[in-house]
Amino acid sequence: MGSSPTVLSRWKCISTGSNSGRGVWRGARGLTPQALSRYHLGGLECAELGNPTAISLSLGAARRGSLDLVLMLPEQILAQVQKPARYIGSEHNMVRKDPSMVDVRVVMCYPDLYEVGMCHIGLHILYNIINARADAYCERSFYPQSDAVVLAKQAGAQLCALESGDPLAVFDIVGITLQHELTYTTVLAMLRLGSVPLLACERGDGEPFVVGGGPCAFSPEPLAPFFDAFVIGDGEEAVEDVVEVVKTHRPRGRQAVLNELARLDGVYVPARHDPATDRIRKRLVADLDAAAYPSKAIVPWVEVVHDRAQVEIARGCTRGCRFCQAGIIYRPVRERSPEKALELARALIDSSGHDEVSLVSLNCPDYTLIEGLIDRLHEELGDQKVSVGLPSLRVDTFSVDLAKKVQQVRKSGLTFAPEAGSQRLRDAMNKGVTAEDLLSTVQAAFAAGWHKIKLYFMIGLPTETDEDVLAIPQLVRSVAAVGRRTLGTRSPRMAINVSVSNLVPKPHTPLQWEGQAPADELLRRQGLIRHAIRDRQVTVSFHDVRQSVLEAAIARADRRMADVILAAFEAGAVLDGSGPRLDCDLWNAAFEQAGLSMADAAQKQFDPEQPLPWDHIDTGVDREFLLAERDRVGAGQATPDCRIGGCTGCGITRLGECPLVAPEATA
Amino acid sequence: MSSGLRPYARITFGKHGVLRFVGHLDVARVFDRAVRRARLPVAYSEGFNPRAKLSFGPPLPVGAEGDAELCILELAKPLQADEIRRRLGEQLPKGLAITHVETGRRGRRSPLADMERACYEAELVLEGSTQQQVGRAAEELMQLTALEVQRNTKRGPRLHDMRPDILALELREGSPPTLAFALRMSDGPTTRPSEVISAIARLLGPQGDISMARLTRTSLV
Repeated sequence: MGSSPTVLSRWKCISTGSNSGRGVWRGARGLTPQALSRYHLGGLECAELGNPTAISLSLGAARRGSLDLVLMLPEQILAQVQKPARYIGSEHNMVRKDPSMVDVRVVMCYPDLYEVGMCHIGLHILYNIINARADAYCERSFYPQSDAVVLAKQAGAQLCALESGDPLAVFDIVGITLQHELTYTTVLAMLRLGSVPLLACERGDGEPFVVGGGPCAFSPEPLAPFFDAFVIGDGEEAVEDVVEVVKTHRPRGRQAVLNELARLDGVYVPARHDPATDRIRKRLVADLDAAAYPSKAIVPWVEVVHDRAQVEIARGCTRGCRFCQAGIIYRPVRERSPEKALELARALIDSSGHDEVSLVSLNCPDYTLIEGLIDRLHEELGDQKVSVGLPSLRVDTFSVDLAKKVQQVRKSGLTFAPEAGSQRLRDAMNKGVTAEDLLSTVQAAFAAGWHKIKLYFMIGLPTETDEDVLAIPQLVRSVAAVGRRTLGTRSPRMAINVSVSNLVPKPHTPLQWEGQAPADELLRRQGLIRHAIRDRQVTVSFHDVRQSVLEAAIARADRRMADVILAAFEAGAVLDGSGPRLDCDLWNAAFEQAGLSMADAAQKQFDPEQPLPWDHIDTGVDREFLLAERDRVGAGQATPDCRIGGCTGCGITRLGECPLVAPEATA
Repeated sequence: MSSGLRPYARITFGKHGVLRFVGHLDVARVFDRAVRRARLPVAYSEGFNPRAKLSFGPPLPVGAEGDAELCILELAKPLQADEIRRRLGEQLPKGLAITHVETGRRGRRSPLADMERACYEAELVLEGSTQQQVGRAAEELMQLTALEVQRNTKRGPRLHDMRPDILALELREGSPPTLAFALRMSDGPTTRPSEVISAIARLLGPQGDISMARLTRTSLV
């Protein structure tokens, strides 16, 4: 009940007498003394004060002071929900401040469950930056699981921040991270449950400024009516600017704050900017060593998805896979120095007690000094049985040495992403990997003791033929054969997990003009793979086509999509990417209501001569570069990694130096 | 070395406040991390996934408090009890307070193997029945020779006789009324505190609605 029991459970003492234990306590809206009387309060008596949200309580001596001004009223409710420890806050390293002593209160929201949202590094980076300021307090909020939402709604409870237990509506800034399109209805659900008006134009003075950030802020139009502002690009410096503007200009009223926000670099204010004429250039943090990064991590009570310390070692990627949005919007590549990374890992482990540190970047093996860094991490942390993890490995750069290095303390699974089955299509997608690379790498991994290999593929790529699709099971069979040969008597333990996703063309990529393949075609191609793999040690999982279609429909949409999202939310859509089966009928009805079609929106082919709905957002990468890359898709031509092959002229140098690019190739 | 007696610490701690919503396995993780932060010389399991050797008493239901929970921490080398108490105590959250540490050496038998009974106190909310009626129902329950409940197991429904598990049961009248009871622990199926409350409710009949407001495990002996 991320929100609900938190909400329900926390009553703030607004005037007291805490020594006597008698005082006026303010609780969640809707919790009346009548409602309270249903609970056994363990020595509490309550009397109504006329205001349904304020109640005079007298604490029994036994409970006095034991819960820091927090009264756990509805423990019956917390006890009824799954994993209640998600909703109680007070985790190790949570920042505690007196909210009444700061000028600006911020709540960072992640529109998914606690165990997903708590793994997001960006949230922790911003949390620490804001909390380093004496004049601001940043708290956290996540969307509760459905069982808790039901109970919260029944009790009339609001979505609250974990730190103070205050509802979102009382904050100055509600920051929302936008990681992917299928969280959009959850964004609205959080605002509604937190009593924040959904539409920016309906918010008045005294109501929060809703500010979005993250990759989806690079194509903000589908959410534009709901947000007061979007921060485009790196948030480390921009978030301080936003806090400063709110602090300084709030006394002059909401409109004045919006005016000032619109003047900030990298901040898009839908109520002030005109997408047809204005250009918002992304914010860029030039030096990661100088950028703030948390040295203390909040340690969740419950097991979260990535239950470990995370050190971001680099931002950006030079590989240039043509479907990849992150590879464009996080340019240029910047690396944190090994010294800094090591210092952060040490500090994070010391302050958290985690048993694993994970190095995070779009592609860890590309990190210039990766082997040295892993060696030093082992030296530094091995005696405490702390293991080092590398998520997302590319095939070609992953050496046997690296495979052995990361397994020294503990073996985690190995994941490779060849993405396409055939060489032709891998070249067309600029996924510069050969089957030989993959097989030799996999062999090295099996030889080094791994049994579990995960392979990521994508279907629905432009120019894809059935031959390309069938090359996926062929490649998988080769991997399995290498595994059996290499593992010998241990081969019964081999497990190969193949994960097949569907291309969702994303804004700002060379594929941004392309329509998605129709749903029935994607399903047919999934079937080709499913029927071609018959191996008990190979598990194939397919990404839900309905989710991919919806994601594609929203990803490249214009502002009209906001009506669809709102209608779907009002009809009950929430957690579309992670909840139970996506309700397509509900979404189709929402599209129809707005005079749109989900299939058409997903398959829409944009004319390169026409403007795009995200043209007002400038990633620093030139449109001409994307168009040239698009042409090379058709020609099946790869573009060399600019770290090796020299500058490809993507345009990012407009925003500053590009530190890792090789000097112009002399050919 | 491995054949000798291994040093361990037997840690008694309370589980109170919001920590009662942190489940059994999660409490184990809290200890695991606290041990690492405290840099205690803890013994690790062998293999590719070395784990700090920590073991705990029987799980406490989520939402219940514990006054004297138990943790056995195996050590790589002997350490003074007060040092463990100080260093680990600094790293544990407020709701998990160490009340006692004693050190010893163990052989193959777990220091937790000798536990026989768990004592509970449940604060009750009574609707439709009086404290006297509940007190009589408790006495009545203790007079029974068998008290079967149906359990759904993987192999279908099974009958479990709770009665031998209930070693003591009495109502302490007051505000709130408290049901104090002791449950037998064994390796096989055991009786859960909520089942005791349900059994009392059944004896009270259809009007007698009781529920637990707060459950505390007061001791493990």
